[in-house]
Amino acid sequence: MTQAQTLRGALWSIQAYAAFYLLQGGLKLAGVIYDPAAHRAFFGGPPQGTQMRYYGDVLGASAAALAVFALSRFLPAKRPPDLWILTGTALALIAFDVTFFFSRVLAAP
Amino acid sequence: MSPGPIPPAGTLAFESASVGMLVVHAVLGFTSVGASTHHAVYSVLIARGQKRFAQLRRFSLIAPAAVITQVLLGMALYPTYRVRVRAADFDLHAPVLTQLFDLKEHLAALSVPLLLGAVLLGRTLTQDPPPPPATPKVLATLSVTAAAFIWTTALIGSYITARHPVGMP
Repeated sequence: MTQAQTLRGALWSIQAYAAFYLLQGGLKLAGVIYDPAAHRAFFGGPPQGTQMRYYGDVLGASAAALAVFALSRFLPAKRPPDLWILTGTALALIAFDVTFFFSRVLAAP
Repeated sequence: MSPGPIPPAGTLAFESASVGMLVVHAVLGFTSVGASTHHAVYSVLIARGQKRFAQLRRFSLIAPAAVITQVLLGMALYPTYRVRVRAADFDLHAPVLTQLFDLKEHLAALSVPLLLGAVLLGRTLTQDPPPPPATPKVLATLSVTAAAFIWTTALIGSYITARHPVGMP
């Protein structure tokens, strides 16, 4: 893996993780749900009662980040990536995530 | 939302060990804060032109190891928190704490890719040919953001634990 591919892959992975995490949690898309009372995991949603989707969201975002990092190995990098554009995009996506989850704290009764 | 039937005590995953795990979780939390802060400080020093590559390499191992172990331990504690603390207390009496805890969990989850990204960028610093000139500053940006998230996670976690720790009725 070349240096340019490593740099690009690292920042793409952060972008993919943040985007997938926001889409899964924010849009309440179907995902892996764990029911702690029944000791059972299943695909579906939204969670009911004490069921939780945190594991599924982290797993999904991690899988997206790993897939993008693997993809970056195979796509040629002819010139060094523009790191500030990639970093700005990654941090903007992270900021969307944080803003969304912080807004729920502010909206809580 | 109704929590549904609450299962009897001791029946959740890792519930019987939850108090001990919470203590380890707290100790690992301090370790994560310290290691990620060191990583961020050495990243900033490198971005300012100092040759602190050996220290950065050391904390590029320690910080992700501490943070990932901490996140995994938190995940193991989560079912007990979800049923015994959140459903039984926070959802009924303090919904803002439910959302505050969720924010902490999300910040912890988001700190991991930031830190791992910073570690990957750090590995390119001493390679030949040298990486693009922006690399040290981007590394510092990612590392400082990750450390800020980990600090916030630790502070919120300490507050939530002070309000209602797992293992307490």
